[in-house]
Amino acid sequence: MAKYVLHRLAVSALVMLGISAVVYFMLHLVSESPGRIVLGQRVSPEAVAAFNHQHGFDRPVVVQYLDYLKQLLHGDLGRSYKLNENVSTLIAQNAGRSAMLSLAGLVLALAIAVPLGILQAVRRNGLLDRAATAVSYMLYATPSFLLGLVLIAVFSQQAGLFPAEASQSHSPWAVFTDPRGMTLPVITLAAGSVAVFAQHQRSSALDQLGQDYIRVARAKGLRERQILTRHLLRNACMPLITLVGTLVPTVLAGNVIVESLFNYPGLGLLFLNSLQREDYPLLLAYTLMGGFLTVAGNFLADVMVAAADRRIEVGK
Amino acid sequence: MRRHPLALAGGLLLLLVVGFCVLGPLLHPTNQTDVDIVNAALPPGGDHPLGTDTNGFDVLGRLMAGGRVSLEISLLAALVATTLGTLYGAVAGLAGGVVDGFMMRLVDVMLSIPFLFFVLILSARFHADALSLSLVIGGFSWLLSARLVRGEVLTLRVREYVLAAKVMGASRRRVILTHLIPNALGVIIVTVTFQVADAIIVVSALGFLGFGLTYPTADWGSQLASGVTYISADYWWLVYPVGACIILTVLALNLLADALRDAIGRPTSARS
Amino acid sequence: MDSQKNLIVRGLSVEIRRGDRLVRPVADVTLELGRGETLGIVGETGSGKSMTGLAIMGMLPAGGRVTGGSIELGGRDLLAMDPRRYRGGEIAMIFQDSLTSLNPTKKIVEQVAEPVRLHRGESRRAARERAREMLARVGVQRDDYPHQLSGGQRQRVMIAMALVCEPEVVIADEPTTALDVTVQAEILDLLDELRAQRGMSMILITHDMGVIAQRADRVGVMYAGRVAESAPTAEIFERTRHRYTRALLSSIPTLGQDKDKELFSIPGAPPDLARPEPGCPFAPRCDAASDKCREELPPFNGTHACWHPVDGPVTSAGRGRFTLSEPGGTLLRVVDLVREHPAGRRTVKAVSGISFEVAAGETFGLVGESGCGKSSLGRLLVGLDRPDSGEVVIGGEKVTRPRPAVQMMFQDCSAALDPRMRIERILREPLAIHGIGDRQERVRRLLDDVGLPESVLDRYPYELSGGQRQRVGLARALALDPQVLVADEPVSALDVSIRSQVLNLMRRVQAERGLSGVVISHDLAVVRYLADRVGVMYLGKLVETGTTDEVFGAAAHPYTAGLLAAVPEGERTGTPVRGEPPSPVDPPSGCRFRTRCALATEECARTEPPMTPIDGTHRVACHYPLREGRNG
Repeated sequence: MAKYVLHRLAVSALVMLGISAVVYFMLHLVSESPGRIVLGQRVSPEAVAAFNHQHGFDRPVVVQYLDYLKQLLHGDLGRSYKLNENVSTLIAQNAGRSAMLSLAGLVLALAIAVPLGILQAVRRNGLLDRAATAVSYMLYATPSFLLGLVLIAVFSQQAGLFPAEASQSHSPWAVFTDPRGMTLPVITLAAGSVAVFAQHQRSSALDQLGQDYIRVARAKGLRERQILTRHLLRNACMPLITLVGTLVPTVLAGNVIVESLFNYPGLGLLFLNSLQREDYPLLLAYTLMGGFLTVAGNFLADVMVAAADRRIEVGK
Repeated sequence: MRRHPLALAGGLLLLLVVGFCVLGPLLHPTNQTDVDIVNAALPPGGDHPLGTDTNGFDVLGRLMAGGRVSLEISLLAALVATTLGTLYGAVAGLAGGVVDGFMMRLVDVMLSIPFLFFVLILSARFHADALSLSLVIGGFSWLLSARLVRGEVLTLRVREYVLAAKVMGASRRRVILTHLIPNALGVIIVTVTFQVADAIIVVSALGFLGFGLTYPTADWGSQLASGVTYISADYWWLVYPVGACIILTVLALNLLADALRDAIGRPTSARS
Repeated sequence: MDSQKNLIVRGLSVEIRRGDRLVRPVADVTLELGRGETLGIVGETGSGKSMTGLAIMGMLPAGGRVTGGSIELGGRDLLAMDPRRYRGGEIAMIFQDSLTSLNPTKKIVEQVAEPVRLHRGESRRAARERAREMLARVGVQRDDYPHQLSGGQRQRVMIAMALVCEPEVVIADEPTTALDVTVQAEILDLLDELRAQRGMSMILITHDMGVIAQRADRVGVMYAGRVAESAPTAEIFERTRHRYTRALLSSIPTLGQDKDKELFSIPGAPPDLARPEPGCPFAPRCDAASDKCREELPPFNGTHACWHPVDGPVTSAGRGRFTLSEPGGTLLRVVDLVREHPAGRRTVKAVSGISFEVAAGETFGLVGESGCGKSSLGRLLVGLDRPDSGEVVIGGEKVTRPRPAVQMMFQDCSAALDPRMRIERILREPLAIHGIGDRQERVRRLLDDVGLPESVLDRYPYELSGGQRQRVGLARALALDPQVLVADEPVSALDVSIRSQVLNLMRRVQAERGLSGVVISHDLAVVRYLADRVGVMYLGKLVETGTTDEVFGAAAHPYTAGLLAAVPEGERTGTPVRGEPPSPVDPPSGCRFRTRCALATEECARTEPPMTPIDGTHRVACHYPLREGRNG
């Protein structure tokens, strides 16, 4: 097991290195002259060139990249072009709130989807299965911002049950301290995932139900419910763990949309604002962070699955 | 088709949407170029079955025009993605060994990069038109098809019928053309269908975030995005019709893709 | 109620509804199982034998229900009970081993302990203790995850799991089908022993007449969901009554029969249970069928259900005789072939120095257990894979890539035909590859050669039956007029009653064309029937070669003798081989067989025995070859 973890860790480190290179070079292509952005359009080309030279932006891109890597290793993400602040400080200020929002959405989605998917598989083609499948299709086809809008229109403007704006509290714990304000954002975030997770869980549970060990468990005289909890659940959840691990980019994208829709001050909103401000150090840092989080998500999922199912280790 | 009522539904729905966007303007010709402030934001009724928007454009006509743009972008994006992905995946799967390892690690790297961020950065920097938007989306979403096609090639490559062809003396070219491609085609078609659906969602999300197509071209996403601003003003006809269009189209595509996926598994197993 | 009978099934009928399709897999089945007795249920795929077992367990698949009859266990009506009350406790079931027959994420002790906790209400600890005892009893003294066990060990765990609550009746459904013969013999011995010890009754469901002959006290032969014949085992073989039983017994190649005679073969295929015809279900395939058979269903009279029962012993063999041509000069020469496959950081030594020759018109048989490298050798012969060293020479030319002169017939007929091509295109493919003209005529002739109607040409592979697909596979292999036909397990995937059709066809085609053959199989009887000369393979090496009569009649290598002794056929003689083969990644030093050999000495561990002639063409690689017959 330790060997497997080390192997996966090494692969993850390599992938992260690859991500940093790809992201850095692509963003460099998009904004090759930071001087122009920082100083504005009215400044002379000479002044821009002088600025770029002074900050080393005229060096070959590979050198700049290696430099950036060195900074990264020291936890330095650079300085914002437009806000008089270190990028790492800005991200740290907002990360907690975004993380809590994502986690709440994820937990809600899993809490609904896992039992639902298994139930659908067990009562395949029953009324519940058909209804849940239909709802999943609908949710999957609905852009999350549209769903959010409908929720706002119905529950906020018509019924007045929840506010249309998310909690503006600076605490990351708004999910708990201001549950009313966070209800609609969390539901919006979770809805799309529920559709994906439940269908995934359904098909993996169906796969497992067709395996011989389920029949053997039945022959032992176990109740159907015991078969589900003792044998099926664990095996049927493995593919879902892997899926969740790969979905980090989707979750981050969901955050951008939901934070913008409900005006929730998190990393997504920070990213959107930086986009308008052409604040590339921040965009670069957050994109990189997203990539690293994804790698971490994959790594965690793989290790969890390998810990639960020892066949994986052998395969590698 | 009879065994797949959902596929039938999906296919019909899709035909309906395409017909609506392509043939619709012939039945319901509208002026989509000149702003008409006098008749702005009219509720549905009379000449405007779905009312007018804040620029005075007929909403029904705008839905048809916007739908064409959306479908074109997504179809092109899906084709770009699938072509790239199929070629890449096939090369990796056929090459095998170190080449395959390197190519797939690269896909791992690319897949770990939050793609929406990149698209946002690109479309904020360069003003997007339909063509560039579909190239960007396609250029980022080929990764999954590459993985799928590679997996398919790897399993097909060691199938006994492929071995049988080799024993008969079939050339590599022949094996690829007569056995691998026709058998992998099902997977590829399914991928295209899913990707068209995904692209529609992405384009609409970009529009909502304000980085979609620029005025006056308006796909469904940007129409929805501009309608959203007025949702509190009770201009419901600016939001729900276009929302329904997006949902129905994506729904139709997903139904179709799922049914196709079920169907391609069939001829291989006699017992089911 | 009969106190001697433990389990009584009367008039059991089952139907399964799937969508708008209604199938009756079990119809009016009556069986009786005495205390401490083994009842064998034998039949082909779709005969209803497994479904009968599942019905007794109350485990019919979704859409299935019992529509008539009764099942009694010790006087209690099981159909009126909640099956969970007896399932796993009083009646247990052992299934065919597969990779997924055990929960992959739980250790085996936990899995074996589960029924104890459930049915005996014992504490977790006591249950685990009991499970450990039971596992030790079946010879698995470890607690690991299922994937760490071999197939034979997994099957032992399955047995432990079924017997841990000491059931009165155990139903074993093809318990050894996925296993090698040597392992199969061990598992069956174990089952027999445990059954006798505990006074259990057993229902043994299998397609293998040999297993039945050795292990069952009474036999029920099933065909198309009905019991065709039921009698004490000896009587089934000596006084066969039903026409189907006789046809089936006659069509199975055995180690003792005259191999120059054609096998008896049953024409056609079993009926479609979704569309029952009136009359005897076997009538369309029966050579004694009369109008009455086609119109009226023969009732089961306690021993058989046949209007024209036979009397007397089974005469094995069909009518035809093969005229054997004298083999010509050497056509195929295999010299010191070595092939090792990388597996992670280690290498699997699949083929480790194999040499043999095949003369023109002669068939060479390769036998061995799974993993012995016989399929890797097959791939080298046809040029699908290249050897690390050594060579394959055909007609003086070295084989480095596939060539028309050597063609192959694959095991799995459904996987070897492209599912997207019609049969016509499949048969034309080899001709097209080599630019051979006149394809239509040639395809027609090929079809004729393998006895297929022209109507199959525009069908897809999945529309054909298994036997038809295998004929297509043979026709395709013949299309290029090869000199050597390599057949890898040509009939293993087929039902018993179809096998003899294909085997006869292969022999006929070979004789007609003067074709040389290499037949690769784990089935000794199949190899004996098809081959003139035989090589016995063990862990990548040949341990014995010679004519079929030499090797099968007077086996000199302890491994060959053990294999023959393990074949479940007639009486049991000799010592079967113990245990399972070691891994080909790390084969034993010296003689590779020594770890399983009763005669092994230190000499065997030190030096590898060379291939030495003993008499005639008979050669063996053993320090202590057996002298006389099987027993040594």
